Parts: sequence; structure tokens; C-alpha cells
Amino acid sequence: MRFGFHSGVDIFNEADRLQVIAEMPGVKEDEISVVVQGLTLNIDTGEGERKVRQSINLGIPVKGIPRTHYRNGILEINLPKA
Amino acid sequence: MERKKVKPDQPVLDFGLSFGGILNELGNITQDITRMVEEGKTEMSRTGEISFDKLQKRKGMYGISVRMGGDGMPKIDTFGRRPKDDTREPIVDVFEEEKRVQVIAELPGVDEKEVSVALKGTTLTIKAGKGERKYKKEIELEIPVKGEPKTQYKNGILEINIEKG
Repeated sequence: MRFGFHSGVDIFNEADRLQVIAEMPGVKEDEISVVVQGLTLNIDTGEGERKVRQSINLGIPVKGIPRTHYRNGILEINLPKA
Repeated sequence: MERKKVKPDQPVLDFGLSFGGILNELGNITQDITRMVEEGKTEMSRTGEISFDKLQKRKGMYGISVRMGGDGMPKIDTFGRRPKDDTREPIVDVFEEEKRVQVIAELPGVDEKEVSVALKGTTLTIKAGKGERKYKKEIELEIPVKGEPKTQYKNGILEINIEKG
């Protein structure tokens, strides 16, 4: 059993958007769901009994649908600023 | 067959952290181990962030992972980015099975063709990535092995299987 953040999440504050880069080795692309609730970004991974949620406080209002890209264990999320 | 966990490596605290920072981390680790024993957990990790310069993009992750071995002794390992050469030390697990040794390394963000695995005696060297994202780890298997390591990389995880000698 492993708990806590063992992988890194970086947030980059760009001019027009927030970019979140999350390392999630071993996760399958179709097991990832990304939802924004207010200022919180929730990244859900896994399925069945092995679901994991990482909640990230963005600190800056965002709008629209998060655009995600997953490759080789790295999830990139782009969130347009409100 | 139950998989037997093998000590993956000796802990090396060679981060560019201040000494006080490392001591603080070790203090926290002691508390964590106590809590793990109390809660019956077998594995945990602790990470933080170090800034190498004022540019946000140069922030690095570092971490210390603690696993409870079958003998009840905690095993401490490090992972993360080593500031001196910008190469990160991946999280690696070594399993001894009946006929083979299995090594699982977390190498997120590299391409399969950028992964190289070399075996010399019982020392396994993993190198991966290029540019800003590079990994390197030397693992002393402590188990005689033979033949070529078989590798498979998927979703940021490298699986290596080596036949026992």
C-alpha cells in the first residue's frame, strides 16, 4: 500500500491559462477523469476499488472544459483562465 | 507464490538540500515510521519541493519512501531529482520470484526508445529520457542472474525481468 503524493504535480501560471503537469506512472489513459469544482481541480485515477483522487487547489479562477493530454505516464491539463 | 520483496538500494541522501532540511525530513520520517507501525501500513512516501533557482519551471520534486519489509524493518529509499546533474532517481522496486528477478521502475514522461537497461554482474543500470527529463539508477540486485534482461515500458512504468543464475 502506498499513500501520499509519491508523484509530482506542477502548476504553471501562463498568461491565458493554468497548466498542470501531473506524473502518474502506471495509470491507463481511460482511467483518468479530470473535473474542476470552483477553484479545486480533482484528478481521479484508477477503477473499481483502486480509485485515487488528487485534489489540487488552483488558487485562480478558471473556465471552460479542461483540455487533457496523457502520454507515457504524464498528464498535462490546460485550464483557460476566467 | 507470494512475492518476496528485496531491498532495492542503499539510501543515499545526496540532494542539494541544506543539512537542516535533511534533518527536518528525517525527523518527519521517524514520526511517519511510528505512525505506519501504529496503523499497520507497509509503505508510504513523503515528498517536497526544492527550488533550484527563481524560475518556477526549475522546481524539482524530491522524496523519501519508506517500506516495511517482511522482517519488520523499515527500508528507506530516496527518489527525485538530483540537482547537480539534473538527473532524477526513479522509484524502483525489486521482487525476487522463484525463477526470476523482477524490477519495476517508475519513469514517467520518457519515450520507450529512450530507455536503456544494462546488466553487469549483479548491478543493473537504468537510464532513460533526454533533455529536461532524465533518469538514472543503479541497482545492486544481490542475487545471481543470467541472460539478457527483458524489458517492457508502458504508461511510464518500466518492467524488467531477469532470469536467476
